[in-house]
Amino acid sequence: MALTSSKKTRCMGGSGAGALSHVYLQYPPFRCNIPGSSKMMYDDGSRLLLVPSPDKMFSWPVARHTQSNSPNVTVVDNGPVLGARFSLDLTILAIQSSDCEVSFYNRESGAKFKQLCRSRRDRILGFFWTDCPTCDIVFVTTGGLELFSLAPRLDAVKLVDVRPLQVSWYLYTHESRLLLVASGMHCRTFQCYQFSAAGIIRLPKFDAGLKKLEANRKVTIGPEDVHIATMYGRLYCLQVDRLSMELNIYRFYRDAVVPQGTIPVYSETVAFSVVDGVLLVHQLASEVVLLYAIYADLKGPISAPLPLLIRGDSCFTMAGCESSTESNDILDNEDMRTLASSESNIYGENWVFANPDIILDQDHGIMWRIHLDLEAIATSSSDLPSLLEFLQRRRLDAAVAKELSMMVLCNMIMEKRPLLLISEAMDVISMAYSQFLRTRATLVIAKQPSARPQVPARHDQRKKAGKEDEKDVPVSDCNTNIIPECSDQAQKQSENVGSSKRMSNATVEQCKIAHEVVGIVEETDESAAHNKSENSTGSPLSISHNISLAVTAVSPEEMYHHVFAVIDNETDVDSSTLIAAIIQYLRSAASEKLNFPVDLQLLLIKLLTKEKRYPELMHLVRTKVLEPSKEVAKEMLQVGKSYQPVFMLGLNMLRQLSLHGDYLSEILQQGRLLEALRYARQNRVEAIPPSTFLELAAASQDIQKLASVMRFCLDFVPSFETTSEYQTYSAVLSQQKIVPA
Amino acid sequence: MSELDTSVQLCIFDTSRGQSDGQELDKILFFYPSESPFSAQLSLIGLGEGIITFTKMFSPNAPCDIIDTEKRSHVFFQPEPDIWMILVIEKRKESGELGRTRALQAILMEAHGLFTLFYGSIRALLLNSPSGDVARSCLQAFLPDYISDVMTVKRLSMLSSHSGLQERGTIQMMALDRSTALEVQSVVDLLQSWFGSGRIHHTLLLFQDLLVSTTLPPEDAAHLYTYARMRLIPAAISTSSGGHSLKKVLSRANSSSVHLKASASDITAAGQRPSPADSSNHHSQFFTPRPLQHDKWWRDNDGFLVTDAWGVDAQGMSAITPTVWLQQSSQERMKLVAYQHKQLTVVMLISVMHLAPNADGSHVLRNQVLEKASNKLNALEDRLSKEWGGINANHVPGYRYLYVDYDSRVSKASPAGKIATLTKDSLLSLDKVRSEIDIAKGRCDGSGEAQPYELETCVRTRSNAWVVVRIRGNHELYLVLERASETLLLTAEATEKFSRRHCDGIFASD
Repeated sequence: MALTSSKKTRCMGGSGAGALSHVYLQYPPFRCNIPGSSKMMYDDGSRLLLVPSPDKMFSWPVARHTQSNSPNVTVVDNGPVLGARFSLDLTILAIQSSDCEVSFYNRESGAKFKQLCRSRRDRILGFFWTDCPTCDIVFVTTGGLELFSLAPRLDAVKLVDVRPLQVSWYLYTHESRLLLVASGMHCRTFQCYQFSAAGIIRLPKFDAGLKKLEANRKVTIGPEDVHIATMYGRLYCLQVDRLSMELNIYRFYRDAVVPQGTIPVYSETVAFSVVDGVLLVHQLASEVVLLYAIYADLKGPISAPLPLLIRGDSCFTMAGCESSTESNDILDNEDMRTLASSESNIYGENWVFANPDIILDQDHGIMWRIHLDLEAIATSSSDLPSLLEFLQRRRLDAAVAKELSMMVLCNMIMEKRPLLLISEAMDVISMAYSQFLRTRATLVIAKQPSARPQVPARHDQRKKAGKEDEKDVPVSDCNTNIIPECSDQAQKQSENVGSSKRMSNATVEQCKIAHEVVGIVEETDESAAHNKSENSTGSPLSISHNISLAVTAVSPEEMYHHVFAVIDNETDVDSSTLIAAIIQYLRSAASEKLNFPVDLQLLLIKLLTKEKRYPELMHLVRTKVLEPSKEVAKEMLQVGKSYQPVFMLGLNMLRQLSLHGDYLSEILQQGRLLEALRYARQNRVEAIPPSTFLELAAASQDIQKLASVMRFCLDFVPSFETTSEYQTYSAVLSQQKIVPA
Repeated sequence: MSELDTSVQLCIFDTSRGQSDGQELDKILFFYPSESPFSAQLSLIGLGEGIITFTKMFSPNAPCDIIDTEKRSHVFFQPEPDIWMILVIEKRKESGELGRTRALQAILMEAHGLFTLFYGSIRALLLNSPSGDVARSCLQAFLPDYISDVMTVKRLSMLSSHSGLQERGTIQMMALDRSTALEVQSVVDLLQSWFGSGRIHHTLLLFQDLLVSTTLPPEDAAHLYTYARMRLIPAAISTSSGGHSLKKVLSRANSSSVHLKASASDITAAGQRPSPADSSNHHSQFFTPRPLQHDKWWRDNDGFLVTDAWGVDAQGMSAITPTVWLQQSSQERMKLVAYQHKQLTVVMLISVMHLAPNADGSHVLRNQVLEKASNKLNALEDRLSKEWGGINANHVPGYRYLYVDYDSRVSKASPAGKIATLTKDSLLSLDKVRSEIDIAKGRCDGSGEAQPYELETCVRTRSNAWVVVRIRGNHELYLVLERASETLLLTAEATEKFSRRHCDGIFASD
């Protein structure tokens, strides 16, 4: 396990080398040096970074590793830019230029048009594009929601619906398709809508949870206190209660908003990011990050609070430059210098935390992306089964997570951790793998109907039923499918803490994971699309995601090759510990109906033999834990040389498997000649020539036996009299005066 | 004296002792009934020894199995070199035939096996205490209880009527599917891992009276299993005093030591004198446990089984944990701790050597098990009771069978209720066939042939049933087909089918 040594991490930005962190900013950051621009905007719907200049709008696609390549430029009218978003198919740019007006620019046709808000009294707070079937774009105004759809020729929008509502401020993330609207005197009442492919879902209202009501009476909740987070395909609302220093967590269901509990915060101001389903709570005052893996239940942070660091690692620079050594030089000499000390100021005042894992440094025109350092998390974690569960849930950096999982398992066994822990860890691994198998099965089924012609333009989509377009609707359908689950069922699920209990909800979970993965697939497709657009502008490719890399699940074969065989090769390993670990793994694999690799069975036989635990070995054979197979049978015959009953078991296994040749050669070796003849005749084995039997019979010095074999050959081997063997051995027999007729 | 019941007599003697005249009594290690006059004891032993010496001239390795007379049968068994057991059974008209010699010898073998499990071999006892007192007191403490369990004429005759499809001293396993088997193994491993590093040396798991899993080698497993079936399983433990307090244990303990048989009382009284010097390593010297005493095991409130058959500790605070000797694996003395939940009985053996002197590891173990394992064990019991196929789980319609694997000392047979439906004639025929085969096997054993013994027999009985025997090395199959096919061919086919389905094809005929 040479994972640690492969790490080439440089720590920069004032923190010394070797400083610990569980999350880091990838160096170099993305920079935009657009003169005259003062603002960066991240449009999470189209995944574009938008930077307005007086008469142009620059846009860069944001992939996982974004390059500072030449941007797309859209010429726009001179004027203020309060907000800007590209339509989801990237053809139309919408810019909110004032309180009451949004301008549209069609990038392909060059057409321009404007839309005012319906009522003069209302102000537009913002807008967003949507892929729900009823409308294309939604204006959020102080008076409510205005839903518009594009005209067929993409030269106008037409009002479809109005939802009157008192709005103080709102939040929307495209990832969740969820709009959260705050109203009330102190903005404490939240109303949520989901603009999903299935239509617009109105969720029940709920109030912000505030303890210490007396002191909180006059506190107004602002948008910075609330966050919509999508974690493992589930939607949550996070709301900070500043006075009691707590974070209230709510989970959204179709028919309910269910409080999930609270976690403490340690800073007056906090910011949130979600990386690969992990919630990062940035404690801005103390400049540390706490990580939470919110899955079944609300646990404490998965790791100790540590600062956010900036790191560059060589594999990243390789993607940008042709030669890695050269790039390292550049990195050291130029880029290092270009990152001024003010730029590396972590948690600068003008940092904007965009959903889900992007940070915009408005002062310096820098876009950072947050990454998890899985290795650091793995090293610092002490609750190993939970750690494995965490690692198995990774979708980004899946290869690393997988390797780390196997390493953790190896270490657990070698360090002789309590067997119960190992047992739990094995459960995690097997469960993850069987879920992966089921997901893959559902994916295969899902892929098949996708032979249908793809829908070319996104705005045509709503004419089709949403459910038909599983492929074309990215993350949304995982969300829409999450939301509809009934809250009581979901609550049940959230109560299911124990991993074993979770089995009962396997089906619910299964479809969930399936959707998570669908999300990944879509991401892959999308990044491929981005790659295409980058290609067209002559930019280098960013790292392309491969679905096969996105698998953290460890198969039984990999368990053998990368865990058990590795441990077996170590010199000072206690065999009984390894046996117990293998048994635990087999148990968990059996309960998930996974196959046992033959190699692993052979290893188990080898270890049991080493410990002279023959009775247990035989018990395992009898209960079919060691399945009948040629390899197992041969190994048993080998082992059986020192313990006869095992030999018999192996021999019988050969027979059961109808491996006639092997069986015969074994009993011939034992000198059971006549039995072998009977067997050969019964099972019509013709591979062994008569001479073999005759030679053995002659070698036994038993003239009666030789005569019997001769008799057998005469009776059953066609035209045996003509062969040379007949001549040879009848001569031998005639010397003894026994001549078979 | 005239009232003395001599329908069953059992004696154990050592031919290497009491060689000189007048010392003959020294040969006798045990005699039942103990009230028999010495003259009767000596005459039986004299006869036995004479016959043994005589037959040794013809067959030095296997001198004598049985003397069959009109009124009595003398069954001989030699468990250890120079040590002989003779079982004398009075024949009664109404009880009919006594059955196979081997089946009767198997009883003696089982008695000796259990004895060594608790006390070690007779020879070792004699070597430790050349006067023979210890060996005598141990035998006296053990065998009368065993005899009262098994060896009354009534019981013996009952046994003989079914014994054709039963094999004493073998283990009946519970049929497990793969994932349950792994679950069991996993729980066993967890149990062992919780109690330090391998200080639980062995475990034996029973569900009702079926063995689920064991880490013991076959012979030890068979002995311990037999004991567990006799005294530890839910059906065998004392139900009358469930949840009794330690005080009761104490009072029972005191009475039990007085309760020992009269003839042995002088020996025990001498042994009971506490000798502090070696009390720690040889507590058998001052208290001879009676492992087979009836109603001596209770289930404590916490699920552990307790007994005072091994006495109480010096302070009289708690019962002494039973100890056993493993013959096959390590020749080590182990403490026996048993836990029971509903139908599940877990017997755990802790090495005495690994415990600090005077420290009773079972208390630590009890806490550990209660704290960590009880949930797992309870869940396992649940799973097993779901998987258990009921009392007729092993029944194969149309067949009455016995399958014995002497390698693992495991047997599988038709349920007793189904065997009982066979006609007397079939059972008798089976018994005869088996006796013949026993003799044939005995000859084969003596010949020292390397190749595994193989045999196939098909016998048609007077009442048109078929008795089929197939032997492949240490695997034996006995079938009785009463309403089976008319022809030999069809019978052979039925046998093949049975072998394929229920014995992994071991008995396939080539």
